[in-house]
Amino acid sequence: MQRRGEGPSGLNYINFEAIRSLPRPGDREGWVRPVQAEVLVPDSIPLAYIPEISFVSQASLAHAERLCGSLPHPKFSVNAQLFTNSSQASLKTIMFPYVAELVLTADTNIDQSMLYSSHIQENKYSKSRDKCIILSAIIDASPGTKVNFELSTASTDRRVVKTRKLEVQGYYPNGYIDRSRIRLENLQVGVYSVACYLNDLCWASANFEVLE
Amino acid sequence: MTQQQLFDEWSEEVPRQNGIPPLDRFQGALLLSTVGDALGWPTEFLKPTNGRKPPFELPLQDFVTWKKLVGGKWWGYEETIEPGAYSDDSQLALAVARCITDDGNFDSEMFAYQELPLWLQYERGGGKSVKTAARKLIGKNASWLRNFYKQGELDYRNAGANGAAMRNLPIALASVNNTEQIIKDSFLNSIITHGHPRAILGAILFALTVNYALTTSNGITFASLFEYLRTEMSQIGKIVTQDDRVTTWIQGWDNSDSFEKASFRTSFNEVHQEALNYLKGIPQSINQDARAYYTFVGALDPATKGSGLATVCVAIYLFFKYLDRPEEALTTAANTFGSDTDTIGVFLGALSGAYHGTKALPSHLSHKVQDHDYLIKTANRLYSIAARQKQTKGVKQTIERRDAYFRILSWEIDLHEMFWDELGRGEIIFHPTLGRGTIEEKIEKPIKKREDYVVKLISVRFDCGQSCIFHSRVQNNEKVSESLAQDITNALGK
Repeated sequence: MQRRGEGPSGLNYINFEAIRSLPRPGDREGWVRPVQAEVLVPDSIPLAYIPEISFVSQASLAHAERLCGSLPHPKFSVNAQLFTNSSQASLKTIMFPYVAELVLTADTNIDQSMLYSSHIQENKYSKSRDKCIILSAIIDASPGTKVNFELSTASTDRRVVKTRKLEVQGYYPNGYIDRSRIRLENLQVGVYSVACYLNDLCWASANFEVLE
Repeated sequence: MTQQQLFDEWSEEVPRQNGIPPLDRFQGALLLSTVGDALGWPTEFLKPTNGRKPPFELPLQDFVTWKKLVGGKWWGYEETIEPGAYSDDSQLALAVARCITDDGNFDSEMFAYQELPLWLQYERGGGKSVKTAARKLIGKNASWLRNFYKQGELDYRNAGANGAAMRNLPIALASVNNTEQIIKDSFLNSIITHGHPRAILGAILFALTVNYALTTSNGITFASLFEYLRTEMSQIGKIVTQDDRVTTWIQGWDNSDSFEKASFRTSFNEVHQEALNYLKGIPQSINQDARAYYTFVGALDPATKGSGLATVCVAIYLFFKYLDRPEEALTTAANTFGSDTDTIGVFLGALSGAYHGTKALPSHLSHKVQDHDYLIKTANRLYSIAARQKQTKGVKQTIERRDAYFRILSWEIDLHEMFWDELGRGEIIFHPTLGRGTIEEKIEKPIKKREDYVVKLISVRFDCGQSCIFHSRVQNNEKVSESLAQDITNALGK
């Protein structure tokens, strides 16, 4: 039976249980395919109707926060489990590529524990003190995923300073780790942004400031 | 401003190993191996005499379009194979290559629980032993170290064909100059699908010979190769039993119920002797007609032509017989009807490419082989691993069986939607091991004796560079026979 509703009240007809249900092609009765009507929204849904937005990783959440800037937004949270097809499945079963971590550090002797550290520095680097910045990314991706790091100025006249492209070739169940070095000696004082694109889609970014 | 220096690739300061052969030889080995496969596949089922005339000119000198009957009397359908298309041999070699981690180790779990089961859905010409082993790796208590399957005439412990050796080239390339690693990883790779020492030793012998060809600069001689193989083969037992997984597996082999009464060690020693005899026969046959050596090792006998040992030895023989004429060697392999033409082509191509590099590639075949660029990329990655130019530190890369099953289950959604025609040409899918792919073509064929079924062949090109044709019989546009979902669901205990 079709049920329709206009305006935000129409959202009440969405069967969220169906959306979150696990498609089970192996069921004896056949594929359980929850039929879900599409929701047509002529304009946009006011943010007030969205209590929470979940992201697959902290890196994605941080990118969203950067995009929002000082604008008010719903609660942001990281809930990678939502992006698997089962509450029992581990995060290794997420099929699409994403950036799990994007960390900038001036310390060349980084180790694994630092990569997973939740605190991120203020990202201010001094040309006189730091020779270079190490950009570390943990990317969950299948072979063939095109990765593009873009270094640009963060000012209003955004200008791309450098890009680095690579392709993930092996399969990395625990994430592909990429490290690159941004040399400070040739950067002018100012604020910069590093963004990580996977298959031309920006998944993570970080700002940093270069001081004298 | 010198922009090049702003954004450098991070490199671990790992010194490059000495003696790594040039990249061109890695590329040559993988390309020529695949060319040998694609050239020999159309003649694989031709009989030596009085056979049905094939729809292409003989002797075969070029890639051709041909038709292959897939399936049996009740379920069979005809598939058109494009010129330059490679078979299961190269498909599985590429799968093995993906399972070699950046630190150079072969990841058995990844191959056994992910690559191999998924391969069933796009395999082309896969053998019974490998397909049975792949299916048996999905189960509640499945274990690649205890995959002692028996099904009808098939018995894991008696599986001695070349299905293990044919996919073993990436291991030889990634571990070049490291004989111990080659032997250990070849052993582990083999026992995932084959339990007979003939298959295991065939895979090791092939990998060692590739290693020798790859690292010998000029003037390779059979005598020196034989000495190398004789020495290294005598070390196999000592090397592999240092690995607890192998000792566990051997205990399982000895304890499993099979018609084979001898212990693994005894059987292995017998096969070792068989290998030495086959190798010793090469010099005396080198000036004779090639068929004489094929006959000597049983490579023309329908009962033994797929032997893991015989086919590798034939390739070594052809490699030396036509040492300076690699193209003639390949066409001889492809035109020796009644033999396992494609797999001998795989072994021979690998040896020629490893020794001569890409210059041995017949120019009219080089760029026409399926997935040429992906083969180059794969060779480059294996070279990079061998040279230890890049290393990933700190994170052990492996996948748990349960996670692999869940990934397959996720993929099954895309698989079903492809076969239900809800995803059409130009649409995107995500595969657990091959990544993002685009559907390029869909072909539907009737099954003459089953009206409620059709066969669907769906060509997908993956961003990584590999192209695959997914195939399944579909009943009433609903039941997808190649689906693994039911088995996976059972294995996950739901």
